[in-house]
Amino acid sequence: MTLRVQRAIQSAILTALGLFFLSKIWTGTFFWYLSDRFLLLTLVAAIGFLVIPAVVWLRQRVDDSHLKSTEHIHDGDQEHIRRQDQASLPIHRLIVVAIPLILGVLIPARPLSASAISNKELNTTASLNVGNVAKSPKADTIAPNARTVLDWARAFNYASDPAIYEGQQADVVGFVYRDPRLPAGQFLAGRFAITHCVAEAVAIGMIVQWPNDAPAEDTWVEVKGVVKVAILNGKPTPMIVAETVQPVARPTRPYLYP
Amino acid sequence: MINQLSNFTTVFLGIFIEAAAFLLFGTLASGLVEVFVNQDDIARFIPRDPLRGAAVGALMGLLFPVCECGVVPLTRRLFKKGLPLSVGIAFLLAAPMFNPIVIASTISAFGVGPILFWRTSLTLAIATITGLAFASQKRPELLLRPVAWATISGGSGAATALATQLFQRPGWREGLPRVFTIAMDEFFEMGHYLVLGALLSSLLQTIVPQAMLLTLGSGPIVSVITLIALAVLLSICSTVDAFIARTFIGTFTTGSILAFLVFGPMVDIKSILMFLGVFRPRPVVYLVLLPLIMVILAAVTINLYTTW
Repeated sequence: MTLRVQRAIQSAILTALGLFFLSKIWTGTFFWYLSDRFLLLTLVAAIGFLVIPAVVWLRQRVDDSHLKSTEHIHDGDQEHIRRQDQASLPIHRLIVVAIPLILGVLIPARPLSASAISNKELNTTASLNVGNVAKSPKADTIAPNARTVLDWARAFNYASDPAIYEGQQADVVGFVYRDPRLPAGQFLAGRFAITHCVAEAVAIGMIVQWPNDAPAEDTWVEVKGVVKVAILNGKPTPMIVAETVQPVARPTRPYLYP
Repeated sequence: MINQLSNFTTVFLGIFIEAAAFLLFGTLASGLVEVFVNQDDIARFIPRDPLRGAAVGALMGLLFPVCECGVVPLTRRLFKKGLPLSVGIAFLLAAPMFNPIVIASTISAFGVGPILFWRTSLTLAIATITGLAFASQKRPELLLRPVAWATISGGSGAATALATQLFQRPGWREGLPRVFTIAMDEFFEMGHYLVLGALLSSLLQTIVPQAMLLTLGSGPIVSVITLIALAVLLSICSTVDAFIARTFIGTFTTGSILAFLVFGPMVDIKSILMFLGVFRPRPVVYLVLLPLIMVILAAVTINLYTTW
């Protein structure tokens, strides 16, 4: 492989990476991988992936035109030029860097689903909190029917007596997860919470009591009902005695952010 | 199976998209060093004494705020510019934690208190000691891959002086395309280790049930080993690992949380593979084992003899 070919492949891969990053940002699927803390950084990197090969290509053209303008090239110089034109990287290194592009194109993009819960910790009383320790959770300042699954989990975790939340109206959106610990007539309305990257996602769940047939696992639902205190694994856990369970579209931002 | 493949890809792309940005910045920093920094510049600021040199290396992260992905190509380039081995290794291990961004995120997560103090102190101490351990090696070519060591390191004073004399700092117009060319090559050289590391980390996350690990939180020794394993497995960027560590409060011992915060930025699956782009295999083993042993000892001691 000549250096010229190597540069062409490198430029193509970097440009494709830049366009791939930009497409994730443009379509909003960026938020299936990272939190918005990294949006600007990723945007800058995407621009970098486009600018760098362009500048290298322009420089190559200038060098080529200097070379062509040389009238007499002796044999020794020709050999020197030939050696300089040899690739500096093995082809497999270029191919490996293209793997994210290949996977990103071949595997349909989707956020983490209920099936990932078997590998992630499932919290029903999450102590997720960012910043210094708060004496009372932010959830108390949010209207009950505006609280997310995460807000409810935090409220229960920090309350000295979670019974204060009994009887409040809840309206949450989550995906259906059939936790094997729950009896028939109950399922979990789950969400994933991330701080910055999907790699450290934690699954949060709120028990839903629904005597009717629950939608299929992984279906996104909106659950409205009255909150009660349930006990799961010896800990008080928020439970919704559901009045309605309606399938809904997956939110554009499927993860919650502590 | 399809769901697992999809989840695997999602986790992999999450790790890669974030890490690739930092790697790109690290390779650009490396290119800037190659084009605009002379060996003389480095020699001027680095103490000759190995202990002070290693300590300076550990503190260099304040000037170069790079995470564990960006620090590797930059360190490799600094080695090529004649940075002593002990200084570079201390920088490699400390910079991902001891930089303004990570210090700020640690304060944001834990406040100004014992966690911040112990995280920074242990990081500086362990990085300095590990760097010092390599100071006795007078022939860096035995530890570094050929692409990573200065061709004139250890050479005669005359050769060094000649190379320094020949160095001409270019203007921006001439230098910037060279910086970009170097950055592009570095990105592929280090990037392939990053991709392999991200693939491995994602695969392990898909296969290994984390809930099982997280039940091992209370023992003074087992908790430390568990969170170290989790830090290596998750390969989380050091800029935000403090927020993840906060969620372990109450479930894991203080020493194990510190172990997560100190060892994670130094060594994880991605960085182990990237180290192999700089060092020969045996030094990489020492680079992993020496900090590991020191972190375990410190963390277990904290668990047994302190109460916060």
